[in-house]
Amino acid sequence: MTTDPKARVTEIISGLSGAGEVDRATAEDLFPVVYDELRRLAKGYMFRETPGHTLQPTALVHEAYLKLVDQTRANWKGKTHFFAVGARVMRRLLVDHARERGAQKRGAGWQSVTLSGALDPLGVEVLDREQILDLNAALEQLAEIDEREAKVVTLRFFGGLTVEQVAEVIGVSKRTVENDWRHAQAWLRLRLSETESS
Amino acid sequence: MSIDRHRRAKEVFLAACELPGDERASYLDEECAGDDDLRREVDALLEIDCATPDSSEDRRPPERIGNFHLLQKVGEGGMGEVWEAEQEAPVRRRVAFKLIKWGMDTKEVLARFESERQALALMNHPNIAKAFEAGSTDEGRPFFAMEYVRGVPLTEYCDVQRLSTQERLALFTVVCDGVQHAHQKGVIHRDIKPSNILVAVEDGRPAPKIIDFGVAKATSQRLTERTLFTELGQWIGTPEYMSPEQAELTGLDVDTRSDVYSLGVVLYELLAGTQPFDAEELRTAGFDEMRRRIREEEPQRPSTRVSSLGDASQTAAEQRRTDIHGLTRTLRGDLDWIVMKALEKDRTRRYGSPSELAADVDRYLRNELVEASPPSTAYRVRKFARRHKVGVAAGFLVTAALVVGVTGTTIGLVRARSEAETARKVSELLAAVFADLDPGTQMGQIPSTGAMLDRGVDRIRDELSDQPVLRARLLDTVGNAYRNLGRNGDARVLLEEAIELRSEHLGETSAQVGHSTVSLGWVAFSTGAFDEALGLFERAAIIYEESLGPEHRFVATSLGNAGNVYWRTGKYDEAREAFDRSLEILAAIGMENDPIVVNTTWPQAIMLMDLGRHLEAQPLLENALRLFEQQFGPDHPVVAGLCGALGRCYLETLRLGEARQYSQRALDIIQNTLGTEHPNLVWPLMNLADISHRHGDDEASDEGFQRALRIAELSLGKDHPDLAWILNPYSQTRLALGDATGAQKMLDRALYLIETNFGPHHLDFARTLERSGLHAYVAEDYDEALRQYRRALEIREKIFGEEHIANGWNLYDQACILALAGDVEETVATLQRALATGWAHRRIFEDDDFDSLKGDPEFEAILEEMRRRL
Repeated sequence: MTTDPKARVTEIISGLSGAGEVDRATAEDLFPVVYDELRRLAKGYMFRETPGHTLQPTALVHEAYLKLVDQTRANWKGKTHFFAVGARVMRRLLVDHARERGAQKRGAGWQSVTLSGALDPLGVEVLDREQILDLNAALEQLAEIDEREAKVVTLRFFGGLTVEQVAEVIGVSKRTVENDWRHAQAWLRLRLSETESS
Repeated sequence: MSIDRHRRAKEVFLAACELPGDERASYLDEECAGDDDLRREVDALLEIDCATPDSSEDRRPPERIGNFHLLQKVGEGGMGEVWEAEQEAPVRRRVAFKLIKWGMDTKEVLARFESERQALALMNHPNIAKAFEAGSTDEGRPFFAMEYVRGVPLTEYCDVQRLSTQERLALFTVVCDGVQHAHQKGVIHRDIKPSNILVAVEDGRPAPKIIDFGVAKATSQRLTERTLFTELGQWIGTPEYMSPEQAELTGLDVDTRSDVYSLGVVLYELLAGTQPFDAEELRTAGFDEMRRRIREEEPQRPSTRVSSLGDASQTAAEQRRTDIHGLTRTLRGDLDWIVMKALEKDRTRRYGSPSELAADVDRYLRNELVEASPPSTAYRVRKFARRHKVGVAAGFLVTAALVVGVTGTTIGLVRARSEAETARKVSELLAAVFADLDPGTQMGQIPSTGAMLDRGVDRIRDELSDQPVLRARLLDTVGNAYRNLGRNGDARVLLEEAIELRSEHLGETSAQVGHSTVSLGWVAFSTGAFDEALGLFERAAIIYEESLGPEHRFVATSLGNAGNVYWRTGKYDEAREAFDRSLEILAAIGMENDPIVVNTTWPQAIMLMDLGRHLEAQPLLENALRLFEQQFGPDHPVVAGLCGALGRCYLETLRLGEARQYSQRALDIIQNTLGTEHPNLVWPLMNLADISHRHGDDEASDEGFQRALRIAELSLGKDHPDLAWILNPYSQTRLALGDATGAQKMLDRALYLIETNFGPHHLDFARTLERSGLHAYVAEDYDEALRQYRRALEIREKIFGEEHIANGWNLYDQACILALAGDVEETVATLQRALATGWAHRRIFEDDDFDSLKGDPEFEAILEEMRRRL
């Protein structure tokens, strides 16, 4: 084990093989490193972005991948798995951030450089705090009754994985992923529109 | 909901999705009999599903569409699916039937196809597949019927046949011939890629045929749509073959050389076995990043790329019947340069046509000297500079070029159906707007941007009456576009409506209301409604504070804007306070070296110049210019604005050479980027006219001022107080030309404008009085001259206090008049008062107005003091 994050992440993901999900231990190894990197990248955007520019979580995950993985040693499977972890991290990051902002609003003043500066004003119509939390709540609700479908959404939506990649990661057929995704979109939109109107 | 219920609802939902619309109801009646909850849930899901534009892709089309009998699906792509079909009438033949995906404006697509039908019919070339027909299905999906080509994609054919590099090149030149033929008939393909170049074998020889001519153009709004439709994650379509100008998204600027670029990518792939940009990476990188790469990133040369692909290189070499070294050797040199020339970002540096590209490939095949050559160092440097040109103005101070920025977002999913609807509407609107920009459809006539926007507004009003949030967003977008075009009246109407809608539907303190409020503030400012502008900017600052927190850069920019208005209305202390606070916030969030500070330091510098503190203003402007140039390149409108301001600054400190240089640069940039009628031209034009006047060329000066005045009157209206800024110096040129009456009329008009807008105690009023006094002085009417100067001084003293450096020149001029009038005592006293303000200038040593005082001890003492200060 080495302490250089890049070498470490590369080592972890290039050791992966076969279908099925990244095992829990591996995911837990990767999670904090990816979390830090994504958080740093998102913060960096605060200084670079200009109005009208859109921050795309999937693009961020991709950037983290380029930063954290030695391209010459990575293979396609490792990359897919990295994105799978990245998707979960991205979701957590957005939710943490939304909560953090909520806490700050109630608490004493703002920290000037937090993720809040990075994510919110980028796109004018970017999700606001409540929407992220609503989505997260809906996803949690979905996970209780249909864990796989919730997983499909996280991977597609926060990680930008293709249907094929999701199928690879979860170890089901492409057709199944397509069905889950189609249903999930309608289901989430339905639940969220109920939240909105209530 | 329980797991079972969920599972059941999902099952019924998915099954219903598979059924055609008319069979669903009976299916649901049966499945949900006696279970109203289930029925309600499934109905709701289906309704949302239908409104989701990209979810209906998988539905199988009916077997028969019009005269076409669909046989089997032969392909699927970003744009839709391709079927092998049989046409039954008027001719029985096998066709390729391309069914476009959902979400396109069918009428638009067909109209575009129709517009090119004649040109398509003229094409008759063995390497081009014929386009037969376009139409739409009963459900409204557009389709195209084309000559059916029984072949495989070019790259696949070459690899399967293991063609050598030489053989591939020979085949490639044939493809170029086909594209060249189309270009000669006036058809641009726009979507050249290996899967659109099918190779059939005829008489034992490979016969490539290019398919889909006319299709890409008809469906070319797909690009705008993509921006919005791919929120759910992935790219569809083929960005890898897209030319940089296509990636610009405007559709404004695509010509035959775009096809040359795409051919270059195909050639790259034929030679190196891979595309210049990693396809996978492009797709996952996000839309903006993808576009940036295509526009800016220099691909590796094929020979470099091929040696760095590991296993893939080995395969590529084997498919070309050689080994990696052999392949690298073959590619290095001429073939590298040929490919790179076809892939130039700047199309003027590409081959001018497919046949030129083919000719160079032929030269290579015949071992002749090729035209393409390695890029020079100077060229690379220039290229590097260009890389930094792309960007959006950080501030709002200058009305920059039209930027129709529609913000989509990856996480738009949560916006639920409304977001999908938004996306579709925006894209349709923009597609409709940009369709008119297509050079092909207008026979070279490009409609004015304004006309396009007018059409956009009509559509917003017509089609979005029941969608207030979306309407607000579009009204804001178009309102800003109007503002950037100088059409302030039109902008105001739209922005006010946007604010009202956004306040009502998003909350009065939402950041979106803030954005529209700032925009409206600039409209008010530009039209001289300063009180209103101030109120709007301060209101925006409060809104941003509420929605984004007190230390946010939008709060800072709003304060900078407010400072600007305070300064314009003569409230210097309030202005200073606002600027300071704005810069404090930016420093607190670590943005003191971000170009965004320019939004504050620029008006701050202008205020300093206004106060005669040019030497303090100068470094602010120079720094701002440096920051902006670094980030946005040399041709940015803000860079132009800063050059103009800096030109004025140098002008005032009598560095005329630099003044002319910077002003000219500003003028050139603005004329090149914003056109010859843009209000931003006023400042550099005035600078240059002023310089001409100082050099004694009053004819040129007159011309310059006249043009500046005309542009300003057009964009600001004839009652705007800023016209005084032009009328003042212009009057001096008129005077120099012997037109004293005209000069006086200009000054009277300036006084009237200032008084009606600001009242008679404004600094501009004093300035105009001084100019009037100057004219009297030239006419040797010393009493009148003094009277004007003294009235002006009174105003100045009210604004600045008695001993303020801003009063120095007034007192100096008064002293000149007094000296000429022969009042030595008063002259000396006035000069002493000037000195007391801290003012000093070397002009006094050369000024012949004081000839009569030479030798006077008190006057000499003043000169001595002046020398000491300088």
